[in-house]
Amino acid sequence: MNRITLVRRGFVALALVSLVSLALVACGDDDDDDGDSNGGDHSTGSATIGDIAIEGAYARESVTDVAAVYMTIKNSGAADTLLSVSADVGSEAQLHEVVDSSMRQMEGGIPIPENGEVTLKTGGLHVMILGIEGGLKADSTEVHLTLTFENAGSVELTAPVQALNGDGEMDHDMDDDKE
Amino acid sequence: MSTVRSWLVLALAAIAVASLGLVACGSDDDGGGDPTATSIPEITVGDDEPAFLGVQVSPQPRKPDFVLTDTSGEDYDITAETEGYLTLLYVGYTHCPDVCPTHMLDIARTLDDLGPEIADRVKVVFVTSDPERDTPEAMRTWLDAFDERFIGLTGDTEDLENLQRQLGMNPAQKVPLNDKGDYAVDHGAYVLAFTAEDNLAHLVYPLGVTRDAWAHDIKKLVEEGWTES
Ligand SMILES: [Cu+2]
Repeated sequence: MNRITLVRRGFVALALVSLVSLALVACGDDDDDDGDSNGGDHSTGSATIGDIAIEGAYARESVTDVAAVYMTIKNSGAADTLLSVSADVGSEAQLHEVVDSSMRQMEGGIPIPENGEVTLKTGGLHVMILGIEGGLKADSTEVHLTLTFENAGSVELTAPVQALNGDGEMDHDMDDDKE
Repeated sequence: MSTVRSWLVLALAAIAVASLGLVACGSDDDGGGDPTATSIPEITVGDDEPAFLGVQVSPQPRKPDFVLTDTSGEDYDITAETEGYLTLLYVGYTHCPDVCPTHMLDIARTLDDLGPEIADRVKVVFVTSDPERDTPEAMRTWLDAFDERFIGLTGDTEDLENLQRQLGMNPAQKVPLNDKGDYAVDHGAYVLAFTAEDNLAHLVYPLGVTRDAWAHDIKKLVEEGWTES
């Protein structure tokens, strides 16, 4: 048997795959380096407040009135919680989690573990912006966000918009090799 | 190849971790209450590299035999129109910010990379789970952001629900996001690959499949078709 054999209605396994990505996040990290080689200008996509550092934030271009924002949140102090996010586009921003095939709101926010990190990425957690009239265009737009943490307080963050037709692979890629 | 390989190893490890690991992680959230925890299927994982990197399913769903409406408003007979093509079918909705665009993007860019010789033998069919918002025009605009060749289908609710049932999915359900009428749609979050020679989906692709894995499987399915073992 050189393959995964799914007995019964095998789709439960898919649920497991998505559960795993959440579990890995919740467990802290698989110590991948932050891949942040260009050390210099971090005017967009990053921000710091207290023990919290946000890196690699970006929104995804959207032709409908909803869009997702992704980022990594690192915590060098005691446990904290990302309580809410607001954005300068759209009618509302929510904290979401994808579990199995459903997207649900994170009631009570996103826990950020002590001396740990949480990555918002496809198939897991994201900030979802609703009611963006005309959608979100790449290049011409940046999204300005305010993130509010229970302990660290509020911080502003600018996220670039990543084009859909670009070849940038989304960071759900679980692989370190880059082409 | 190493990327493909390492994805595989990770995936297998991930599945193994899933069956044990949730406990080991000390699930700081709700612990129990997870309906899937009691219904984990038997999974056997071997050492050899499999022929395909998608998730093999059994029984294999058959390509749905429905006549729906395409993005130009015309009838689209799925069976007739996709006969002889590797058919990647996905049920989703355009107001989906995360899972749906990720799948579409990964497939579109993979087909670009593989070139027309392969891509012209593949049909990508997006069936809406949200016919209320996904008019033919709305789907066309959305699909064109990824690939103008992608086919978008809608239909009456009953047909769309029956199609999902035939694929082994629970029919999509609206989930309100606020009290202003915004909603998400729960839906099957994986892509089914119906092979040209038998119109069965031996393989499905959940989120997290890399483009290397997509490229590997699409190329092999087009060139060699489905092979057991
Ligand atoms: Cu969402």
